Amino acid sequence: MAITYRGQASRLNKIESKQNASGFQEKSDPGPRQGVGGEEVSLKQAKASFQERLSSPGKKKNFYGGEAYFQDGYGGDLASPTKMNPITQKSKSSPFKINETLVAGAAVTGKKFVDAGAEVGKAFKNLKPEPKAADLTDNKNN
Amino acid sequence: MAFKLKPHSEVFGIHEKTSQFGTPVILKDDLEEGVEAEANRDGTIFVSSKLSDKKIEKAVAHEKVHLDQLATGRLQYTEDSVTWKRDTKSPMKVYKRSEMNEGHPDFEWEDEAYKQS
Repeated sequence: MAITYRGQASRLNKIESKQNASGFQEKSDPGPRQGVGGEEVSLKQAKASFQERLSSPGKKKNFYGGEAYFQDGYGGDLASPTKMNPITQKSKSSPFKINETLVAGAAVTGKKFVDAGAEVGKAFKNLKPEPKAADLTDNKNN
Repeated sequence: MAFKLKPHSEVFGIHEKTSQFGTPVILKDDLEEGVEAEANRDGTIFVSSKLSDKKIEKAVAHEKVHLDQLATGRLQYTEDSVTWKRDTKSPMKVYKRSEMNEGHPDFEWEDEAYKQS
């Protein structure tokens, strides 16, 4: 059956009247969910299943059923902040540091720095000069 | 009897000039040898108490770039690893702290911090 413009309009009007039973400024009950994913979700059931899960403190599962992995090993009771381990307690030393030996160079700041070039140079100081090789560039012997 | 209260910065060892709300700069005298400053992910910055005011300012500016990287989720660290993701299009890189030279300017996050501070 072909749908005429008028027929479509009246159908839309009907749908709209159902959806907006009360005006947008009036208070109304939420009504059943429409659209994709409108299944009923029991919060009580979700909470119970969340409690049942036995995972290590490093791994905490979220309400969507997936595993939310906290890299910092955020452990303890996530619901109560007093029982929770603070982040700083887990990793005390920061890797983001200005290390002056790295910036200015070990030669300037480091006490134990050994100048390899100078050390090698010392070994060559008392070395006997190499014997002169015969000059074979010109044909002097001929 | 009258008595004079010490300023809170003196009591807690905070460097008042560079500290901001949420980013306290704490003076430390037990940092590793050669380390001038550290940025922690709780928003605090540790600075060596042996540094001059000018050097502290420079170090804090550098560490604040790291705090910004941490806040935007591009940089993160744990006890044994450092995770870096430059932007949404680049891959995430995980470095083992035991194998890396922490604070080396060749790392992308350090390079960024040196350029911006």
